[in-house]
Amino acid sequence: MYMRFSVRRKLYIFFCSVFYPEDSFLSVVSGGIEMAGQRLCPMEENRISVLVVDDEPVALKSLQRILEADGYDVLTAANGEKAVELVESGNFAVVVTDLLLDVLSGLDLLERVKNISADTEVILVTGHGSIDTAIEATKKGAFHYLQKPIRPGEIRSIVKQAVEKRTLALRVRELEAGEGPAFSSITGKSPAIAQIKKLIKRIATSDSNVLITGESGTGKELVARAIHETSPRRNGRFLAFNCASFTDELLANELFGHEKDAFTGATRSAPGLLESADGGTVFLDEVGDMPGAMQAKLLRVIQEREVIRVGGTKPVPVDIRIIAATNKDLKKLCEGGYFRKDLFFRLNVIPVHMPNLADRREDIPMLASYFLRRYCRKMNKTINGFSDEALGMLTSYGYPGNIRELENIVEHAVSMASGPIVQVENLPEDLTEYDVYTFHKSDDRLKSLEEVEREYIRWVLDRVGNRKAEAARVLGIDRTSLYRKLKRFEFKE
Amino acid sequence: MSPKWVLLVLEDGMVPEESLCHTIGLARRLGCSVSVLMLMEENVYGTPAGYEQGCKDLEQALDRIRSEGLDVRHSLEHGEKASGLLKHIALIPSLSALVWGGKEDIASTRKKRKGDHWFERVRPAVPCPIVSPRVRKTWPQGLGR
Repeated sequence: MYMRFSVRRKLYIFFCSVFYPEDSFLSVVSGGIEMAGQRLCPMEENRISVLVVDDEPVALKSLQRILEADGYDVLTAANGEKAVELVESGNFAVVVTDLLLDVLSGLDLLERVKNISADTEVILVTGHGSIDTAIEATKKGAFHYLQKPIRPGEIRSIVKQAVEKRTLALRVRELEAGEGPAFSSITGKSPAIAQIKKLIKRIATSDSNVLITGESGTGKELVARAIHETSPRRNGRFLAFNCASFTDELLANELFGHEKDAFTGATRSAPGLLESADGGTVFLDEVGDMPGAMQAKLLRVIQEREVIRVGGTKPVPVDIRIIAATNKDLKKLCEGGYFRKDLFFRLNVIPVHMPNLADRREDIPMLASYFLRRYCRKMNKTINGFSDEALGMLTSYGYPGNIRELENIVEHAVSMASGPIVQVENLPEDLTEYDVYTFHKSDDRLKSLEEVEREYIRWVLDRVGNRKAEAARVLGIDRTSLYRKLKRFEFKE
Repeated sequence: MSPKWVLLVLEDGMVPEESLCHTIGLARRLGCSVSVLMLMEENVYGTPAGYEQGCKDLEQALDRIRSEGLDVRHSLEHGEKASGLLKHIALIPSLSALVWGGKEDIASTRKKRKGDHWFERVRPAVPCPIVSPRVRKTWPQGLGR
């Protein structure tokens, strides 16, 4: 029986080596991660990532070729440890692993993968199958258990089923959470972002004006878009306008439009932005920089719900919702007489404050991965994640430019990186060479011990991939205490 | 579009490399122009100490910022530093970050001598994040010096 199996296995390996000979497309790193080198065709948008784990290079390669032919983004690992590293740094839909591996068995890997990313489906492959291991694998959450030799059609079909199951599960969760595509651009799982998402849902049905405050680069416009897309006005237009970009006259023309012959060159009448957004939402960015005369005109629009074009006398009714945003302290500007108090109260019906990125550090790894995927697609590169040191540096930096700066740093890193992982030396020099302390305005408020403890525990959990035992070890407390604290702080898994 | 600015604050003719390097990096990442403010105290004779050397170093720093393709403007203020800084901030319409390049480390100034240092008096009036770079004492793995 064993002889027969062994001969079949050798034939299988021979078949693979004949049909999938070594070529320059694959580079094999001994004992480590095996990566596809330069891509021959451009990476498509939203390609699904599959990780294949096997200690036999030939089997590994053939599986990679089979799945790549189906359009998957396939990464390979020669052992369980490397596979865990890859799963920690990437977002895989499916992991196909051999059952017998060095150090970490396929079943152990299954457990680790499920701990790191419960959504990832795991398919176990074995040449030494038994009913007991099949049952154990199923109990531990394996999607399928396959006997070697694998037929290409069979593995294709099973991986396809696994991807479909995962996609459906994610979609169901998204729907259960009431989060549609409007929220997909607001990345993060921190309590602050969860609060903002909740608030957006709560104010979706209302038609009140919204004032979004927060430092530059915190994502104010994304929130404004999300509010518009979840509101009954979503079928109307969303028009964004930067109030600091224009002079007084141009601002009036852009916002209110003009009548024919209102000024030299006005050969015909044209509606302004407020009229064009009728039935929709207008987003006024940097409203704190709006000149005084324009503030009075805007106040009139809000009160009367009508606009008068430049050079015109006839009011035109408009049905718009105004979402304003500023990085300035409007209350202080009101006190100094630089901003109209009545306009401030009209705009500040529903205040939304966007936190600094430094105040929600736990979102940095997720945001960094999001930008990494985006720029890998743009630059046609395959990078799986960040080294621990690089991620540590990204997490500890203060980000005076908030998310916009993080995006820029990741773009720089992707363009500099030549390997499968972003290393510290790929980050901008001024971050690696110097320690940078950043004091945000919110630093004025002293945090309570509980707030600091809560933030630190969350940060540690993120760093150790949500492994409680490891987190407890790092924090220097036992697991029971950690669970008690998690319950007290109401952390969601 | 009105330009956004990164303000580099320098003191008494000194241009620390770490502050200059980080200002350039930050301005490039945020798409900002750079404003360099040199604050100098006057001595008993009414002339700032180290004025000539300070001007020379400042000129070199400005050249370096320009060579990185960034827009730069500068200002030299003599006299009381706190009011010099406030006056300069008031003239900048949109400030994205203030990079501290002064003599004392602002992080330790804040912790140890809060209230003593002139910058602490004006810090609440700064309308943007304040950044204080300093030479790294420990390097991440793989970047040992």
